[in-house]
Amino acid sequence: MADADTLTRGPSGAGDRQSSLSRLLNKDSTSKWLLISPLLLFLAAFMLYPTLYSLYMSFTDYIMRGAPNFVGLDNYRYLLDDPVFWEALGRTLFVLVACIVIELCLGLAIALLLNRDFWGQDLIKGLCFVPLLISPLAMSLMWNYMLHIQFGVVNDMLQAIGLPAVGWFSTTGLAIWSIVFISVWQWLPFSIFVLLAGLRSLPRDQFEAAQVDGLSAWRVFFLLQLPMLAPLIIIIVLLRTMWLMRLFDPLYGTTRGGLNTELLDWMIYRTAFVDFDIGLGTAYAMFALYLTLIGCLLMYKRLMRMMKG
Amino acid sequence: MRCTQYFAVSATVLALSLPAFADDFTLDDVPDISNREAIHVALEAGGGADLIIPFLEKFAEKTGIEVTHESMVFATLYSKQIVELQGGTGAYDLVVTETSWTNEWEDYLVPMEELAEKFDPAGAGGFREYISGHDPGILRMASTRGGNLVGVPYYTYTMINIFREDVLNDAGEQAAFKARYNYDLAVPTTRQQLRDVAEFFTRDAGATLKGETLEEPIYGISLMAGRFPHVQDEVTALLWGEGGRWARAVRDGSGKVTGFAVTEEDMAKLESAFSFYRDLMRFAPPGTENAFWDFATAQFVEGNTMMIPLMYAPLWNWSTDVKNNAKGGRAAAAPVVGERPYTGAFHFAPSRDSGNAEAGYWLLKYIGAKSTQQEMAETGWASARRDSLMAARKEGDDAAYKNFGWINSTVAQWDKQAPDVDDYLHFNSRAFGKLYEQMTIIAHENATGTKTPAESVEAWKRALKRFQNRYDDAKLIDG
Repeated sequence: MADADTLTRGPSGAGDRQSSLSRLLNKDSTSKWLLISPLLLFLAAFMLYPTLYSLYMSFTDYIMRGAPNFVGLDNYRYLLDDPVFWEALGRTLFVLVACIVIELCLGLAIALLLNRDFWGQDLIKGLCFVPLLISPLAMSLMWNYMLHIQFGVVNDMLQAIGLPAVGWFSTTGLAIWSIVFISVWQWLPFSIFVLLAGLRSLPRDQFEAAQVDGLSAWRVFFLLQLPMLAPLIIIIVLLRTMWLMRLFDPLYGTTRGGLNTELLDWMIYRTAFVDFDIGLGTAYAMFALYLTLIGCLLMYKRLMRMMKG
Repeated sequence: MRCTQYFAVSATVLALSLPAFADDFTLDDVPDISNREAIHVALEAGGGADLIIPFLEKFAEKTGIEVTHESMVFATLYSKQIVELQGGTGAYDLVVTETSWTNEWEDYLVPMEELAEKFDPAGAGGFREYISGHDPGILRMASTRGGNLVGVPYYTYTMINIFREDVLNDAGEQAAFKARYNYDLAVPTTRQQLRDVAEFFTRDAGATLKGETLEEPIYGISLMAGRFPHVQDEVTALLWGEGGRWARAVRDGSGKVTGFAVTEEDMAKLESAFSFYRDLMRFAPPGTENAFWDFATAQFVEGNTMMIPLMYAPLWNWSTDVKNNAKGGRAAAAPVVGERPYTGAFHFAPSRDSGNAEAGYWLLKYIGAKSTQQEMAETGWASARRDSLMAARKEGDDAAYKNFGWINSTVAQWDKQAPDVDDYLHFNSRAFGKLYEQMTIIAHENATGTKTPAESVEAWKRALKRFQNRYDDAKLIDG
């Protein structure tokens, strides 16, 4: 009798369980978490844990020898009093602003030029992509030789037209601009193609109306195109801010931080992986992370507001 | 007498008396190696450093032990290896150690005599005899401050003065120099003479050199003022040449290093060295502010500069190519001003975490042997083994000039330098791998005018205090 009961209840109990599992899976609030849980686990293991561990390290005096000792805010106090750190941060912000302004202005101008049909456009657009495909380190080495004061092709060309050779990487004050140039050269295509995609997707009717109203090209640009591209511009600024805060490669192949070109990421590398002062190095890195996060959060909020608007 | 002095004296006696008795060690003397595990060796990448690879292959062929290697540029050599050593990964069976890293890496390396006792039928005594052909000063640098030899030197980069012999010997130039400076033009032996020579040969296009009109400007000297690990070696040579020190090792009665002292006199000499270097920058070609050895040597080889007053000996070979670019050009070598340049050597050192210390020991012994070093020197290698260098034919054909023209100046400087090694911060501090980078930054900022010489000295004192006290148990002694 008992067996019969089991036999009769069994399938029905499994069916209940199945239906409750299926209900759970079909529930929107549960399924979305289930679906993103592999990604969350991945992020926790490879991003959250290292970040928290770095945060912990920044409160220690670890020098890759013995056990790390907790030193409270000592590393942050040292950082705040360290003029070398503030100089590196100042230079990083300068490079960041210079690169973004140049890339946006040039990128927009070139995107406007490319936003029309002309013979050979595919080839031109293809060539514009090339800098993005080159390894940043290889490119810094390449520019180091091309801009070399004595052996560089750029100075050869300058001298051929009667201009003096320029010490692009050997003149204090100019060297930092050469670093800016390398970064702009590599990342300008990113701005060009994001903005070009934006220009191509703008609605035509408003521009036709503007044409009927007789608006000049400048007014069309400032009153229609630019405001409509604003979200894309913010995305470019957001991403470039994150990337430029950790600019490293152009220094590796050129000045190695000399001639007043040491940027924050180079300083972090030097402190953590040459001096092996892991505590102080992670404090620098965490400070840079806080700054980047604050800046990017503000921009992200603005972007979200614009998207909603 | 202090134990380190005992070591230096006994090593000198050994070096002077034993070479005649020291049997050469060849590949045929390597016995069967019981541990068959492959070994992995770190190498400095590029240039002459690649010349060592065929010798690793010969060892593998003879012993049947696979030898793999990993080449790294000098800038990453220190950081990559120290991470593996500190992590105890056993990634490298033999590491490349710069003589100024020896003390810092002591905990991760095995003393050579310990390995000899373990693996070599000749024991530690036999090993001492084998090593006696090396220079005692270089051996001291490859030893810890406690006297343990932790590697075998195989490649030196002692600084020498490389100059245009044809220009200095030109009668017209000699007469013009004497008329201007009131003494004979010769290879400089004092700072003032170096400055005068540098100034004298800095000329605009349109001026003459050896009676011929110059189409391009020329410069008196090549320097390496970029933020690379060379500018501080140049300043070091200027400082040591005047008897100054970055800091002095202080020892107790038993010879043990108890700390490091910075004296006012030393700091005055350091400031003077910084000032002199800045002054010299006026006579170096444009681009020197971001230059390293490559640029400095290329300037000389192209005939743009007349002298590289502080250049590593391995660059001699390339420098002799000036004959191809300058009419009548001929390079010659001499000791640097002060005769106490930065004297370093790479030595292979056995890692404590090696999985096959036995094969590592025999490979090391083979690479550091007299005949091996001699054979390597014939291919342009800057051997660090004294008896190999002394046996090299220094005159005769062009190959002898090109491969061995640097030797006499180098060995002469080793002799002058040896008594000072016990005193130098470089070869006694366990913080030196870190201090080296600080020296580079400070010397570069001085050279490019970012800091004044006085500010550079203050920056050095701060860096020394921070790093020496943090990374070494022998602290900086205030006062």
